[in-house]
Amino acid sequence: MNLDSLFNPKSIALVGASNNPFKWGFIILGNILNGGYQGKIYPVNKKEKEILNLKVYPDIKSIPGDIDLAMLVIPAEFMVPVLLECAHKKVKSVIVVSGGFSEVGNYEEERKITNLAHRAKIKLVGPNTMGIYSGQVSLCALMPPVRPKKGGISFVSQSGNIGTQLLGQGQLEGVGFSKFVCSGNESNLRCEDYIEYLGKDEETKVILAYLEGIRDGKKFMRVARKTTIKKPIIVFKSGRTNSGNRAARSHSAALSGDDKIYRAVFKQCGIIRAETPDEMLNLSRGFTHLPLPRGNRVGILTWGGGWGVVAADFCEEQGLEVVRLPSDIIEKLNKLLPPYWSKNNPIDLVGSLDRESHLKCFDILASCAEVDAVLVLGVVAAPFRFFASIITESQVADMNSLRKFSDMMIKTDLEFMERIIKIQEVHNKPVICVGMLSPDYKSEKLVIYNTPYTAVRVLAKLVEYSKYLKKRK
Amino acid sequence: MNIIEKTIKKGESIISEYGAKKILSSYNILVVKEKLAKSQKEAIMWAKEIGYPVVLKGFSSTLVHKSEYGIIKLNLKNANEVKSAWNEINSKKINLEGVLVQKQIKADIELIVGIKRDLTFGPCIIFGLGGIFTEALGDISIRVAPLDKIEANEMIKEIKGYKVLKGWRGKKEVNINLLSDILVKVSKISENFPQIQELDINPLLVQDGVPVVVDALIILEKK
Repeated sequence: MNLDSLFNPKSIALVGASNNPFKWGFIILGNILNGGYQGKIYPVNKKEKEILNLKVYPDIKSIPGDIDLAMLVIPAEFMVPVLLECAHKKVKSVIVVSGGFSEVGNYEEERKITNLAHRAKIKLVGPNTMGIYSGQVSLCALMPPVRPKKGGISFVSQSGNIGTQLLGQGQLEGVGFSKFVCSGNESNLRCEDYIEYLGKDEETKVILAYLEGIRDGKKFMRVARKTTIKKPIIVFKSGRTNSGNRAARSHSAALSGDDKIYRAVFKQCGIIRAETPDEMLNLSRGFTHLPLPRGNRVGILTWGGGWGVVAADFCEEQGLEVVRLPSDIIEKLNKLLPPYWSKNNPIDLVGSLDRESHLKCFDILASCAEVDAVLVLGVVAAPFRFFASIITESQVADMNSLRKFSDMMIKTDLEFMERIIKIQEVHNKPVICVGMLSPDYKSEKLVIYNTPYTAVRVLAKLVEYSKYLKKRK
Repeated sequence: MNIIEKTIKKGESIISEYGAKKILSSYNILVVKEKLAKSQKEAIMWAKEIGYPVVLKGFSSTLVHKSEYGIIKLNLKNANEVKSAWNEINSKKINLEGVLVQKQIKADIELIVGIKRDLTFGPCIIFGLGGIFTEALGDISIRVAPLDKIEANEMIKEIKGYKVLKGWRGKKEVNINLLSDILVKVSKISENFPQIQELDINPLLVQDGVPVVVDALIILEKK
């Protein structure tokens, strides 16, 4: 399955381009330009001469040179003649943005474009899709004005709504994407086709998918099995309940089967299942940056006791072992911590402000052979950020001298994170931090989540994937 | 398989226990010792051969819900009891092809195994604790065929009632190896016969740790 002409096009034609800023034919063109795409862009419209400083062509056949990708933003009833032009011009890939096909019961029209594309060997995305993103060529061929950061996650979505939400949220959190495609009605290209391509794509480190229904189950399983031994596939599947199922059927005319069977399918193929939409991004981020654990034994380092208890509970519930610390490790920690520390796992730093001792404790825990993964709660990002914000907002004393103090604290915090990253690299075990995310925190090498529950869920899924890979070997 | 082809030729879609068990047996799945008796004399002869106690079941290849008709007689300990059971069964106004004489199994645990063909993913293999555990609690595990030994072992461990299989209240534990073998073979059957829409082994009784198919039903796809 070669989708290079779709994700790496040298030229794009937008049929249905418009000068009317309230039409998709304008908005999509604007997004492509603003996204920084460097290839050739050909707007097509019978009446216009120029849109957004670009020369407009009356039709596909009048465009000079080859067209790798055509994006069609025209009413459904005009689709067939335009597709015929694309076939004649030997356009390799076509994105049919327009709706009005099987999702509204117009199966006949969809069958026509399916057959046409199939005969002309055109790779057809959609119909009824919000578009694609490709980081490699800075292509934001999308309806919504999202501008994802470049990264290793590639996302296939059967819903434009979910796709937009996720890309938008990703932008807020600074999560990087390699490719995105909204698969729409999947009249030609289906989710398993995209997954097959992304499995072979070197830029893609993690495949993420939002699915409502699968049409060719056997092919899906075959492709998934081949792919998961190379890289993780994370799926959020909806239509789990009868109500959800009914909604899915009317939304995308998809057929949804019993959720127990989907659960079995994912387990058998090594697909990691996100149980909530939030988990889609959280898991993608974790799987992109964290090494896989060799086992399920967790060491917990916590600044305050409460989060330690909470995390320990979650770990046990998720099948992780909060391992007992061997005596030599306890000896080493006795020298660094006050005599009333927990003398076990979780290691409670009892609110100590001694940063050097924090680093040493972390190093000792991470180097312990009985520990496969480390959770660091509240030690990173949280404490000094609290103090810094109190100082910044203080009405009490002279602002300038206090501001110097808060700047120093933030600088210390960032240095501290760099040192944790170095220790993490030495031990090659997943280290997950829980603390307050902040915009000035730039490094992706340290994975931080907002709550202990999220951190434990991500770790549990890493363990699950690691177990699956061992089984396949 | 002849039984399947014959059934389809007859325009029918149900293979009831005698035929279903023959198919399972051809895959070396242990089925209960049984014989089909066409007369009371045969019934007594087979009972003696199989060994008491025995069970008598009225048999018809198209009859599905036997227990509702009063044609099952359990725990028959001698020829006289077989005689009266035979008479009772044949007194019901049901068209029977004969009476099955089966070895009575003293079951420690009751299990179910099945095939259900899913429109999207093809045949799926189902396993669970039988009786109310399946009906009321839905404690089953599912996998999409084909199933290998490793996956079969995993799906057995997955059911909530797994502890029951490991032996409790003095009962011997189930031979998990034999059990996973059955699942793998049932998976093979589902692959070899695309005409099978559904297969229900219910119950799979475990005696002294050994699982034995006591009743089975096959539903073929309707043309």
